Parts: sequence; C-alpha cells; structure tokens
Amino acid sequence: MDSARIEAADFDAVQDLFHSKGWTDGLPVVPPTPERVAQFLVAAGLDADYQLGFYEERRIPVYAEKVAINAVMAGCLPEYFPVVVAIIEAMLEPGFPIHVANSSTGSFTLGFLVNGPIRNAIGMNCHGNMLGPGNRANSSIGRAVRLIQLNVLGSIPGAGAPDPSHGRAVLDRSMMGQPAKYAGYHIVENEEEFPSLTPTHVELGFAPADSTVTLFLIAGYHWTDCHGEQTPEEWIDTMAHYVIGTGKLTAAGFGILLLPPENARLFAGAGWSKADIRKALFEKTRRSVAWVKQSGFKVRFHRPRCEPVEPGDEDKFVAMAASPDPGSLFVVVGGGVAGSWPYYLYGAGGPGSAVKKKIRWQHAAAAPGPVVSALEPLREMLAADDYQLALSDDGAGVLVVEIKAGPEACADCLVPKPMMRGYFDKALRDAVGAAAPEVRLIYPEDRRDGASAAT
Amino acid sequence: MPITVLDPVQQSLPLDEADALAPAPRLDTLNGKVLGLWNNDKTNARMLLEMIGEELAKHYSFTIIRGLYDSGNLMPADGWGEVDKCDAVILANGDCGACSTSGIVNAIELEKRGIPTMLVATPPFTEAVRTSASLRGMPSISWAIVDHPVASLKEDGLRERAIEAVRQFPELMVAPVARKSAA
Repeated sequence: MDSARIEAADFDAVQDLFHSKGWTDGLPVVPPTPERVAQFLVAAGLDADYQLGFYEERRIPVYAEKVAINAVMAGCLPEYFPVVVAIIEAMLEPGFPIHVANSSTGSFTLGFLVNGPIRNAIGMNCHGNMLGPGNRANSSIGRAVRLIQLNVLGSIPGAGAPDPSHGRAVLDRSMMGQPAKYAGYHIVENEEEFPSLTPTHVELGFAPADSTVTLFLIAGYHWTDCHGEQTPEEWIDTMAHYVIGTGKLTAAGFGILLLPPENARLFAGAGWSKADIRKALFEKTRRSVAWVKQSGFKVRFHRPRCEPVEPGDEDKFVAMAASPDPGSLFVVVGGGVAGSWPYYLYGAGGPGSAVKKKIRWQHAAAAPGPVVSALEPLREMLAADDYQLALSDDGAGVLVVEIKAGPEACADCLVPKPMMRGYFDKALRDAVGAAAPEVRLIYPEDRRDGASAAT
Repeated sequence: MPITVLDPVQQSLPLDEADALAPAPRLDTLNGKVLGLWNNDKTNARMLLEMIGEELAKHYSFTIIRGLYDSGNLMPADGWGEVDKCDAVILANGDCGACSTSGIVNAIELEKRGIPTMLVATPPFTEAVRTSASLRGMPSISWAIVDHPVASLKEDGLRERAIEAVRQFPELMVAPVARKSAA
C-alpha cells in the first residue's frame, strides 16, 4: 500500500484540491499528511497494507492506510481510529447490506452503537446532543465512516443533479439524502447511570470490559414525546402508538429504542429490566397482517398499501422487530439529563443485518494519545535491543504493558523489573500527571513460566 | 507552507482487457428450455416477470422455474437454489439504485455460472449499471432497458414494460446465428 503523495501550495490549496476531485462531503478536511496518517496506523496497531475487508459488489479491497487517510480528513484523533476500524470491518462482514447504504435511491445511512470502556477513554458523548454536534469523537468518527464510503467504497453522491464537475461516476443514488449522511447516527450508551439496565454489548454476550461497535443500516428516526406518562405501562402504550405510526411493522427486521435518562429512571425505579421493556413494547406493537392491510399500512417494504386481505392473514403477525430478543430490538440508554423525548430508529435489512464487532485497541490501549506518545521513547529504547512493547487494557483502567522478546533480543539488556516500572511510572506522570493509569508490567520470563505473574 | 497529502481514493481491483470476463454463450433458442424468473421482492417485480413469461410464451415453448433473490447482497457461492437448473434467467426489477446495480452484479454471477441472464432495468440507472458491470469485471454484459418507473405501475402499464423487455429478448439472449436462421 503506497498512496500517491500530492503536493499542495498551502492549506487553502488542499481544500480546493479535495473539493475539485470530489474527495470531500462538501466541508473542509484536515490535510491527510503522511505523518498524521502514520500516527493513526500506530494507534490501531495496523500496517498500512492490512486489508480490513473486501467490498464485493465493486471489487474494492479496503486497506488500513486508505481508511486512516479518510479518518484524518474527517478530523479524528489517532485514539479514535480503532473505533473507525471496527466499524469498517463490521460493514464489510458478509450479510451486512452495505451495498444498499452505498447505492440505494432510499436515503439510508449507517448507525453505530459504541459500548465499553473505550467510550470514556476517548471522550465520546452519551449525554446531551449525543446524536448531534459538539463532541469531537462522536462527530469525527461518524464523518470518517461517510468519507470512507465516499472515497474508499466509491459511493459518490449526486444522482439527478447536474453531472458532477469532478467526473467520478455517481453511485450513491439517494433520492433525498438525509442530515445523518454526514456523520451517521453516532450512538453511545450511557452504561453507568442505570446499572440494572444491562448495557447492550453485555446483553449481546460480550464482557462488560469489552469495547464494541454494533453497526446498523438506518432509514430514519421518529422523535417522540413521553413527558406525561407516569408509569412504565403508560409509557409503553404511548410509545407503541408512535412506533406503529412509522408504518414500519415487520416480520424480519430490527428496531432501536433510544431511552433518555428520565425515562430510564422510570423503568429502573419500577424494577423493569431491558428485557421487560422489550417484551412489553414488542407485544404492544404486535398486529395481525390483516389489521396492517386494513389500516392502510404495509406489511413489508416494497408492498403496495391496502393490499387485499387473504385467508390466513388474521393468524400472521408482525411487530416493531422480528422478535423481542436483544439482537433484534435494541434498547439503548442515552441522551441529556432533562427531557422525555425517546427516539425510535427504524432500520432496514433482515434480523442478521446488525453486525457486532469487538474493538481491538491493544495498541491504543486505554491510552489516550498522550499516553502512547509518552511511552514512545521507551518503545524505541526497547526496540534497539529487539524488545517489543505491547499495550493493552484490562478493562478496569489498568494499562497492561507487555515486553516481548524478539529473536535478536539481548537478555542482559533488560533492566530489572522494578527499575523498568519506575521508567514507565515517571514517563506517564510527566505526560499526564494525576491521570496516569496504573501499570501492570509483564516480562518475557513471566510468559515462559506459563504464568502471567506481573508486578 | 507547502503541504504533502495522500490520495484518499481506493480504486477497484484493476482489470486488464485480457482479464475481462465474457458473458455466457447465448441460447440457440428458448424452445424446449428452462427459463428462470427471479424477482428481488420489489413492488411489481414478481408480476412483471410473470407478464414477461406470458409474452415470451407467444413466441417460444419453454418451462419456468421461479425464484426470489436478495437485492441487498451478492449471490452466495452456493448459488440461488434451483437457479442452476435454468438454461436462461431474467432478473427484475432494476428500477432503483441498489436493485439495478446489485441486479447487474448478480446477473454477472449467473453469467459466470454459464447461464445467460437478462436484467430488466430503467434508464435513470444506465450509468450506474454500466459502471457496476465494469467494476465487477464484465463490461460487455448487456441488459434490457424499459421505461421508468416500474414499481408504481398498475397492470396496464406493467404489461407495456413486459412487452418492451420481451422485444429486447432475442438480441440479448439468443445467439446471432440462431436469430438469423429463425428469421
């Protein structure tokens, strides 16, 4: 992988270049310099030519370097890059309808839910304006995904407009587009405030200490008003009406409910679990196919409304999702401290189309950029004697530093462990002060002994 | 101050002329053959294909296998069930962005399996279909183009589209020599 280098006279010339080539979403970009791109690859521990996946419909191999270039352009920081990588890997999983997002006349976009410790480590926002502007990580990760769709996956927008001046073939045929096509639906779960409402990734079978993304193809959202509802039952009843009103009852799809803290408090206080919420809402939105047809709704995407009722339609049922299971009906706590405005996001694609991925961030570690930078001199010092430094996060805020011996490693060159610990503690204290994480140090001999003894 | 930036665009895998895939051999005739009518579940797709079958039956004698495909995904390696029993296949609808482009890439998959295939698409998607065919490695594939729209038509309009598609069938699906001798 060796992307072409282009010289531009100055910052403004970079902007003109990217606009004239059709390489941006219409907004200015951060210049993707080779140095900046290299920092991103280091942060995710990826080689430039590492292939994240393959976009079959257009025969496009997706390499880490191109993904990093677009993440830089979007305004990401290096420590966000592992999240971007996980999202891109999820979208290239077989079965995820990425070609629909990239080509449809329907104005679909992507939504991604981030769970686990990385949310807080990189400062994502699960509170007020979660889906809106203001937070660098939320906004730039979402924008990176769009720029990757545009530049790496070839989804150039513009159908029906005058031919684009840059001459690239228009393959994103969105008829109307939508605001969430700039930065997607960046959903971040508030996992801390209501412990009884189990975080989504844990419901899906991951460990609480795992960091994950769940990727969705999203058609749109419905903003609702549940201020007057005094009990969980009243809330469910109101919400069911709104959900049915979207006309998106399905036998095979999924739905996402974004539950603001005020509403989460109502349910948690009454002893409801997420499973209870899902089951109640699912049941309240369940209707026979006969009812759907007679009410002028559609039983499936691409069906004419008011289809004639057929024998057996009374006994066939649809609801807001294929099932009340956690992988089909998602309930996510998020949003601002005040207001009972739950959102219902309606998706597209079958029940298997939401893809979950564990985020690999061993190299970025729990490590905000300054931590990685602070350890760089130590990394170089160790590398001179053929020792590699691997950083990871134990999920509880401890930075695990493993020193691995290469084939040429000089056994006598490794200072005693307590001394090495001192080096790391000092480097981190100097860089981030009181925010320095606790360090667990693993030496090669710890592994040889078959133990993970560490001091 | 001058700034060096990296090109953000990833190209599709390069395709030398020698690598370009050729479509499957065309039929000598549809008479006595098995025709596959595969619809992508868009509104009117199934009915359009039935009408195409009826219009073709005015000219040829053949049997039909019907199937459904997912316009959001590429055909899996093990195919689409009974589709391999077909001597020729017609795909519809191709009157939206995803269904026209996924229609042509799936038509290419069928051509690669040796089955001559005709996608029915509408003019707003001609460029997108052509580009997609090139990206997938079969730039010379052809398809039937009928007026837009398809999904919102009533029966009369749909019949016109079926007749338009059938008019193009001999040129797209029957080998030139066979066409000549039949004329």
